[in-house]
Order: sequence, then C-alpha cells, then structure tokens
Amino acid sequence: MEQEGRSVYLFEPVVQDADVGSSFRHLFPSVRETLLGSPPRAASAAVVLLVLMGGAAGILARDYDAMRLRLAHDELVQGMLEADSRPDDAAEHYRAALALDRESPAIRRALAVSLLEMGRSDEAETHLIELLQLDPIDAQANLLLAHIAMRRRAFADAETFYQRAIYGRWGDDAAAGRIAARFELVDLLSRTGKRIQARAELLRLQAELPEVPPLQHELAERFMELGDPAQAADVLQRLMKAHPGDATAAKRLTDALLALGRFREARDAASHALALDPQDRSTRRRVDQINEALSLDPTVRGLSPATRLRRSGELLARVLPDVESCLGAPAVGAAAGGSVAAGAGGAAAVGGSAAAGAGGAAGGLAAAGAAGRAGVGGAAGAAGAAAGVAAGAAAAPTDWSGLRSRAQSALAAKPTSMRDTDAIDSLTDQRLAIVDELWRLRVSRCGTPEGPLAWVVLSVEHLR
Amino acid sequence: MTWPLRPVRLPRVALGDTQRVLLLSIVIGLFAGLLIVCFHMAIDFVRWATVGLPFGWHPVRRLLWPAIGAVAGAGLVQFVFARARGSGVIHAKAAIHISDGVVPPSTVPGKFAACAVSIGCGNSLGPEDPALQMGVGVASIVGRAFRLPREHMRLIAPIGAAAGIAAAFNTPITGVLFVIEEVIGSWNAGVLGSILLSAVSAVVVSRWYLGDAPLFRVPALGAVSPTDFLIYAAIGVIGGLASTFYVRLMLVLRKRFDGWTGTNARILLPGLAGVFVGLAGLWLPQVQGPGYLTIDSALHDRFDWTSLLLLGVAKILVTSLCFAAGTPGGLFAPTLFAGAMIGGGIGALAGHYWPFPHATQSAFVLVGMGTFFAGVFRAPMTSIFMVFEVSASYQIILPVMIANTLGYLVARKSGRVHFFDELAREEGVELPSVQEERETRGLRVEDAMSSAAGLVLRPDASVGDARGAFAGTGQTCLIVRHGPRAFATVHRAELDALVDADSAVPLAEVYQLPDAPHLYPDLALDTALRLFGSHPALPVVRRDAPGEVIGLLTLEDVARAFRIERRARATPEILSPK
Repeated sequence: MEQEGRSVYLFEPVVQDADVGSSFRHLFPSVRETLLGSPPRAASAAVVLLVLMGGAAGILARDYDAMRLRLAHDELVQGMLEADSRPDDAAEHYRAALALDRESPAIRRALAVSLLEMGRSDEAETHLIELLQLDPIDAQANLLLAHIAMRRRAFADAETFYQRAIYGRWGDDAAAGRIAARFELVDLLSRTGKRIQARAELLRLQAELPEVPPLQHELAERFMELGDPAQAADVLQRLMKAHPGDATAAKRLTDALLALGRFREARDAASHALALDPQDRSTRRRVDQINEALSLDPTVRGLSPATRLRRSGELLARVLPDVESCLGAPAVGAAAGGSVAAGAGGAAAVGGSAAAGAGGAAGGLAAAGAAGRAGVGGAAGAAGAAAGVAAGAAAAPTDWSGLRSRAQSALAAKPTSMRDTDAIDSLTDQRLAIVDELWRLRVSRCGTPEGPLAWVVLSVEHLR
Repeated sequence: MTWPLRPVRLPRVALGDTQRVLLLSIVIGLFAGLLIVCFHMAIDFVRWATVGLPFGWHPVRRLLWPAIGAVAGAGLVQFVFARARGSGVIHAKAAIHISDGVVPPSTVPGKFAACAVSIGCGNSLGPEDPALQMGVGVASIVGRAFRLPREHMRLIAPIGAAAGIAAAFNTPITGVLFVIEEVIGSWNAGVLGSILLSAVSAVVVSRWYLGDAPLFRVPALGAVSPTDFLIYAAIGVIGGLASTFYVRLMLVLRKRFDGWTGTNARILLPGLAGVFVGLAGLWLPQVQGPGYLTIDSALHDRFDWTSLLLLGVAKILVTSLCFAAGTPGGLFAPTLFAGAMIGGGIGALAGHYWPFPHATQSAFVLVGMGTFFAGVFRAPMTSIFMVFEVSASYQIILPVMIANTLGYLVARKSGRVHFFDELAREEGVELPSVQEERETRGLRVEDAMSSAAGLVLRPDASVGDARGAFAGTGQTCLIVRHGPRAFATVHRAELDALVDADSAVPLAEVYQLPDAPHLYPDLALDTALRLFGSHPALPVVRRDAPGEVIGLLTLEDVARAFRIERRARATPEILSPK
C-alpha cells in the first residue's frame, strides 16, 4: 500500500518494478527483438493489439453513438411536446439534445425557433449563423434570420435573408416555404416603399403558386394592396373558374372589378356571391350599391349623349355637396388648419375679384399662395394668405369658391339644342372635368370615401 | 508461454535509433488515441447512467452523485491503483527527470477508471490531465516493450503526453505546444518530430471514432473593432489576477488538507468536496462536470454578464475544493470554463456601457478562456493556439495574443509561484522549473573571454616575440595566426619550458602549433567548453569578420565566469530578507 505522505511521484521503486518487467517477459518471451530485429515480434504484438483495441473501440463507439443519438432524439421530441406549453423547458430540452448531437441542424433549428419565440433573438441568431456556417444555403435558417432582422428593423438585411431563403435549400416542404418567404418579402418591400420590386415578386409568385384557394386569395389581396386591381381580378377570375363555389373569391373579385370601374362585371360577381350565400347582407348591400353606381355612371358604353349629360349632371350634383360638407368639416391634421383659412380667405377675396376661376387643379403651396394673393384687398384674404403659406402643401389645392361657382354654372347650363351632340358632349366633359377637380379637392382634404359615388368618380377619372 | 502468432515477415530495413523512435511515436499515438476515445465514451456512459442529461438532472441526483463518484474514484485510487494519484503533468516530468521514462503501468487503468467515475458523476474536474497521464503511461509501456535504450526512454514521456492531451482536446497543435512549454520546457529538436507524430496520430484516431468537429462550435465572430482591444486588455489584466487567485486558492486549500492524512481522510475529503459540488449544483447545475456544454452555451449568448461572472467564481471555488481534496480528475477543462465565464462576463458587461460597436460575446468568451489558461498554467503559446484550434477561427488570434500576453505577465507579476512547480514541491519532488528555465539566460563566450590585445602573433613570430608578448601581461596564453582564418594557441608554461631556445628562432620551428577552433562571442559557454580539446585557449573572432580576433578564452576564464555567475545568482537570495 502507498506510503502516507503525498509523494506520489517517487518512481524509484517503479523503475525496479520486477513484477511489471517479468509480466512483459512472460507475455513476450522473445520481445528482445525490436523494430529493427529480424523477427519483429514486438511490432506484430503492437499491430495485433492495435487491431483488437480498434475493433473494441469501434464496437463501443457504435453503441455510444446509438445511445447518444437516441438520447438526443428523445430530448428533441420532449422539447417539441413542450414547445407550446412551456417554451423555456423546451429550449432546455433542445439544448440537451444539441449537447448530445451537435451536428444536427434539426435540433439547432428547433432551438433557434424556440429561442425566437421566447424573445431571445441574440442567442437564436448565434445558432442560426452556425447553421449557415454548416450550410450557407439553409433556407429556413435564412428565413429565421430575416425575422430577426425585421424585429431589429434592419430591413436591408432582412431583404437579403429573404432572398437567400427563397432561393436556398428547403427541407421537405420546399414549395410552401418558398411561397411563405416570398409573401413576407413582398410585405417587406411594400412596407419599405419598394412597390415595383414588390409587384415583381408577386408576379413571380403568381407564376409558381399552386391553385390553392387560400394562397390565391392571399395573392389577390397583395395585388390589391399594391394598387393593382387588374392583376387581382385576373387571379380571382381564374380562381372562380376553378372553384365556382368560392363566395369569398366572388366578393373579392367584386371589389377588384369595382376598383377598375367595371361595374357590370362587378355586379355579376356580387350577384354570384349573393347566390352562393343569400343571407349575406353585406353582399346584398354591395349589389344595391353597384346598381346605384351603374345608374350614375356617365361613362357606361351605349349611353346616348343626352343620358350621359343627365348622368354627369347628377354626378356633379352629388359630388358638390359632398365636397361642401367635407370642407365644412374640421380639417384632417393640424397643418390643414391653414388650408381652411387659405380657402376661406381666397373665397372672401374672390367674391369681388376677376381672378375667380383661375384656380384649376393646381394644388399645394402655390395654390394657397395664389388664394392669399387674390385676397389682398381684404383682411380675411391677408390672413388666408399667411395661413396658406404656413400650411404649405397641406392647404386646399384649388380655388374653392371659383370652383363651386363653376360647378353651379355647369349644373345650370343647358345645351342650346338637344340635337347638337357636340354641344352636349362638350357640356358633359365640362361637368366631368369639374367633378374631377372637386373630387381631387375632396380626396386631398378628407380622403377617399367608399361607395357608389367614389366608384363612379374613379371610373370617370380612369376614363379621362 | 509460447508466442501464439507467427511473426510477421517484414523486409529488413536498417532503421537508426531516431527513426525507430519516430516509428514508435506513431504507435504510441495510435494506442493513446484509442485509449482516450474509450475514456471519453466511458465518462459519457457514466454520466448518462448517473446524473443523466443536463436538463434531466434530478435535484437528488445532482446532490448525491458527485459525492458518490468522488468517493468511488478516490477509493479506486486508494485501494486498487495507488500509483494513479497525482497530476499528469508532474508524472510526465518525473518520468523524464527521475525514472528514465518509466511510469507504472497501473497508472493507465487507474486513471481511466477513477477519473471516468469521478468526472462522469459530475465532479468539477476535466479529462485532459488524466488523458495526458494515460498517454505517458502508454508511451512508457510501449517503450519498455520495445526495449528502448535509456536516452530514448527519457523522451518517451513527452511523446505520450502530447498524444494524450492532443486526443483529449482534439487539437494536435495544442498537444505539441503544451508539452514543449510545460513538460519539456524547451524546443528540443530531437524530440519535436516524435511529439508531432504522436499527437497527430492520436488526433487522427480520435477523429476517426468521435468525429472531426472542433471542441466548440463558435458562431461567426464578425469584424474585430479597434476599440475592442481595450476590452480585451481588461480581460487580460483581470484574467491574470483571477488566475493568480485561483492558483493560490488551490494551493492554500491543498496545504490545509495536507493535515488530513490516513486512508479515511483520503476517501472522506473527496466525498465532502463532492457534497459541496452537489450543493452548488442545486443552485448552479452548470458548475458540475467539466463544463464544456456551458462554455458552448456561453459562446452562443445564453447568459447575461451577472450569470457569467457568477458561474466563473462558483467554478473556481468548487474546482479548487475538488482538486485540493484529491478527487481524481484534471484542471484543464474547469480552468477553461472559469476563464470563459470571466471573459464573457467582462465582455458582456462592457457591452452594456461601451459606447462603440463591439465584438460578439463569443469573442470575449474565447479570449477569456485563453487568458485564464495562460495565467494558471503559464503557457501563453499553448493558450493562443488552443483557442485558435478549439474555435477554428483565425480572426480571434490577434485579440487572444494581446489578452493572453497581458494575462500571462500579470499572473507572473502578481503570483511568482508556478502552479506545477509548487505542486511538485508539495508532492515531495524537486523537478526542473520550466518557468525558471525559460527565464534563465545562459552564459555566453562574451561573458567570459578576455582581451587579446597584443597577444596575436604573426605566423613567422619568433620565440622572443612570444616572450615579449607575455611580458607585462597577466595572460597565460597567446594566439599565433597561421592564415587568414587559422589560429594556434600557445600556453605560457609551454613557452617557459623552452628555456634553451634562441629568441630569434621562429616559434614554429621549436614548437608544434596545431590549429585551434575559433569561437564567436554569442556562443553558449558550455558549447565552447566542449571545443577546447587539448588547446589551452581558443580565439574569439567576429562573425562578420572571422579573421579578426577580438578576444581569447582560456579554461581559467570559463571557470571564473561560472564562479562569478553562481555568486551573482546566490547574492540576492542570501541578502534578501525572508
């Protein structure tokens, strides 16, 4: 037994360790021959022992790996089971699994997702970057990194990660992943004002999108958001052909067609939606509104000049009070206060001025300034000028009083002869031009309303 | 017993001793690699069977298993493998300097079993030092089996040590450098090739079975900002001071526990340390075991700065206790752990208040790891390359070099004690200090030579010229130039013996003047000594003008220089107050 002191490095007895030497001699009686000896038995023994140890280590390593991977898998499964209810515990399970199987992208990805859900973006990012080190075109890792970049409002980075995700390598459900990534990219581009790129991405998406109603709906919705109702209508019409019973598609198609001013087709689509769901009050109301728009629209083909003239008058007669009520209402935003004053000043001055009617559609600061200059003769006009300049671009874009008087004049005007189609058309065009101006004023002051009047005016605008 | 297999008929190849050692180095590396692979798996098997997976650690298991494992490991050492006690590094050095490369074969199974149980059960120790010791044991067995001569057996221990540590870390460069820095203490060209071969072959085996992934998976570090270097410098200074505290704590605790002698104490102390580890594990489970998983988590931004610093301090305490109590296991992994946490903690703390863009936390963790290692083991080169190898990142080299150098200097300044030297002294053996060796400047020819002014004669000089040259000088030798670069030396006593010679007779006629080798001023004095042969003195020439004699070195000069040197070294020790 060892001595009591701590001197464990005293090897003198070991140097003379007769037992060890004899055991070697016993095992290898002719071990005197070394590597250079004639029968290199020591070398043979070493080779044999190496092979045996290698084999044993191989068997042990196989069992070790099997056990390690099984434990890792168990931890991964346990983490997945707890992912929704206890994300903290799930992350711990994933960490344990990762400690056992560090090379597994699935475990690392699961951990990253779990950490992201817990709000631990920094930690999640390290794992995702590592995934990219293992596989730079790992699409899911890129997508998750895009989410982290979005959280940090690093939009340029996010865009890059989205692009890499779209063109990267996906797992089992590659198509769905790519589609989801592209939709998110479209949202990002739309949010950052890159509407052309966003539309291009949507068109690429349209080419590869399967005919699955929810996805097609989403596509149409994105087109509508990007201000491309024609493309949305195209998507929805194809969807309707494939799925005629899709009431939602019919309703969305109605909206797209209304935005395009195609009232008859919109009415057909709305009627179809109503037929599919007769209890739907909103659709019923939408049909009524479309009928109203149809009866009001002077641009419908096949109308006689007289009817067009009548409808333009009706349209002008409905737009004018609408704009009046809009201008009478409190201004939108603080800066708009100046524009009210400017408008009022302009109106007061124009009462005795030959400058009335000089407004036109010019807007912004110049118009406000002009309104102020027109009112130099009166105190109210001076105040309006000052306020108008201060209000800047938010001020009323036109000479309201002159416009109103022109509108009233146009309403009162009648063609010299109902047979003179040129005169009728001229008056119709004059009225529609005034409608256009009024509507611009209204939109700039109070925004775009929803309803038949707006649809018809927009339709007229499109046509003009 | 007869040999069971027919010997392999190999073609006879005339291998020299050096080539034979090189070949055996590969064999040692293969054996050590296989053994360390099995050791690694054994630790994991024990861990899965006892404490289980990190998250699954039941509090009771967490509390009890470290103590049980420590008692079992210590019991194995105490009752079965008595020779398996102690540090692997000191075993390797002792094998070189004391036992001519012989290490008890029982060290190998002893370390294997005791450390697998102890570390597997969650004690705060690592597998690298035992792996090093097992490598030395394997090398010793192979060397003895092949009947290596004594001078080669002395080299066998570092060869095995390099294989063991390289396989344990899965880092061949680290294995080689650690052995050179810490075990041999110098760049010994004779053994370098063998060490390299054994380390590489061990790592090849290790990777064959366990895969070639680095020890840690390090996320991308990003660009290194110039302002970060201030943080790295802070990590270097604080890491250096912390490493001094760590070493002192371990040595103080060990001295305290030295009083506890007897078999019961040797079992009881590790058990108590295990209980402490278990209690610490209830609060901070990460401090149990070697801690590689926790280091990996720290590299992945898991902890905030308070957690990191807390874990670093806790690890220092529990590891010191385990080590001082004699629980089987090594210090490398816990040292890396503590350094990683301290470095990461400082980096994360700086990240809160640092106004400039800074590196990711993983960079600070890696730098802290290297700094602490350099401070504790005084092996700056090893620590730099270790961080490089375990992280597989070249970007980290510069920060690590800065922080490690600072940490090493601070540790050397704040704590004069070299850990392994002090430990060996405590264990009762006086081994050459690697640190002292590194810091010692050897004597050179220029330190001993005397002036040759007036003592260099032409080839045709007469006896009278020689007598004239000696006259009035205290010199005992002079130089005769034969040719532009050929010299001979004459001793005064030899000249005095020629009393009958006419002064006008050329010296060459009455006296045989054999060519003497010349020396250079920067040559080591002990090397110069070997060149004297039968010459009474040797000329010293300039390297850039070998024909120009600038001095003369006599045996008396050499003797004087060594005496002066000894006295100069002794003086501060004699005079300095204790």
